Amino acid sequence: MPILNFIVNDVLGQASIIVSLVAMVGLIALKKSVGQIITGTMKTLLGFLVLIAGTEILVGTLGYLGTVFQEGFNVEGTVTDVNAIAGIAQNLVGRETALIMVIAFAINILLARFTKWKYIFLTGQASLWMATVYSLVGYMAGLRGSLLIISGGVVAGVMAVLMPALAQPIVRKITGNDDIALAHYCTFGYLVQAGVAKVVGNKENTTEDFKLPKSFEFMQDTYLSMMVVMIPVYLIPTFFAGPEVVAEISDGSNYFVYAFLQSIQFVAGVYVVLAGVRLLLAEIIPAFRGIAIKLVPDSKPALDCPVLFPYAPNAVILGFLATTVGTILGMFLFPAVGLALIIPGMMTNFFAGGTAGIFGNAVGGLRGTILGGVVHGLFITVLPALFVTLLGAYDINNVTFSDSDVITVGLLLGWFLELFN
Amino acid sequence: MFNKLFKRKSQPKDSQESTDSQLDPTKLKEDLERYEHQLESEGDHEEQIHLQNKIGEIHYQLNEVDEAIECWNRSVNMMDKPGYAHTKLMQAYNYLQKESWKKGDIKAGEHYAEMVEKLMKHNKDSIRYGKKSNF
Repeated sequence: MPILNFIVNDVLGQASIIVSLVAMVGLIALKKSVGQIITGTMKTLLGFLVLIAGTEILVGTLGYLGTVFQEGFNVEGTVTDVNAIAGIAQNLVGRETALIMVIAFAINILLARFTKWKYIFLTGQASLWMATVYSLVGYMAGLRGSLLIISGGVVAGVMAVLMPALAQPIVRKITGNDDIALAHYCTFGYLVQAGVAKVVGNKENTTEDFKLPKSFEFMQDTYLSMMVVMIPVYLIPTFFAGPEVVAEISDGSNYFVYAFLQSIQFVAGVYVVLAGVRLLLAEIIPAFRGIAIKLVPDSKPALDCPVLFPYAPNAVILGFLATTVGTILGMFLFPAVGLALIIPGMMTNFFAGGTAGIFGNAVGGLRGTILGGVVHGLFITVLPALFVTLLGAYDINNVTFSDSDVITVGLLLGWFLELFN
Repeated sequence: MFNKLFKRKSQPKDSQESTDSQLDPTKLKEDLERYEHQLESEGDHEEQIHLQNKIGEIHYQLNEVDEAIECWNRSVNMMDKPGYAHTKLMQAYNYLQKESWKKGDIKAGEHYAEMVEKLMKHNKDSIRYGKKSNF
């Protein structure tokens, strides 16, 4: 029937509409007014389209980066930015991602209701990245339809409980209580840092006893530090690629100026994608939260990593800086052993590195934060380097995921599905 | 090398576990009056924050959660970076959120959930942008 075809394929086939419907159902379940339901639904739709607009900015500038890296160094340079790749992936698997998120949420609630792990995962962006990596890798490996969506939902739902549970022993040490949990899919990295910190550190010597020099402060602004990294990342390969290569695409602009603007465009693209994600999740997550608390009254909220920042703010900065050193070392070391060249993602270095720093400080003090941070930086560089080989087979180039738990699921799924191909 | 990079500063006065009163309400109220009196005449910025935190802690122990939140809010707005007051505010908002949902007060539950989100954004921004911003 044409009308049924229209609804199923033309309407429900659009990822943006599916995501908006998810928000609408959540708002209806919370018995919001008609006005609030309409506003929330339309804002979610707007957020998705802003996200897509951001990815269009990113695709262009990443394509340029790939060209100059190839022409200049004969290697592929890959940027780690979970926002960038997840945004790009929505064009392909947006519908599946939205449905995986819904099922993951249901699984999370079931596990919290009927097991001793009462965590409700409330970091919307992280849920989106986990659903995205599963839907992307699964789709590319041949999974389709309900098998892809249901299996993705189960895996993502289990991760939503498992990762906060794994982090909780150290989160308890950090906060001094069991009231809150951590919902940030970089837990494997945090445990690596904590492991190193435990061995090499001294927790009596805390990071909070020291005053950081002011000269490091500018790096704390993540967009500014992203520009500081991306400008040379674009300019240096452009210099080696030469003006003839750039002239084909720069429309008459000076090749250095063009490269400089491309680097800033990358940062602008990430900014727009993140703005879209925030708008998109602004209605969905409160709906999830309300439903979860109704169904699991003794639930424990698992929150985004800034919830831990006040417990050791110096550790955040030191962890970020140490992780950045590790990622820069990894950028040069790993290609020497045949792995991909991974360009540091400053957003991940700040949030994951900063939080890892708090973990390191809790078990190993200042020395644990710094030495553990460098190892953490190497760890979060080797994982994307391994993942890039999988993505390359799927024709997604020059960008990869950055969060350790997300990449681990992607790698394990990809390797598992390869057994059947 | 690290001794030159990092200067040692004075030990933080607030700790996650510190309360300097037994849970006897009379004693707590005496301490409360004493700290409030001290705060009136205290000129040192750090000491003011410390006293605000202490007063907030006592209000919280007396189950006067709104007053506690007010004190910690004042501390938060005086601090350059997140710290003890932020952690106590988070604890208070989480508690109020849970209580609201238990009583079926959805509006209040959502309000405190939004305050938690707002506080996390404040934590993030004050470290990223390194400036004092009002919470």
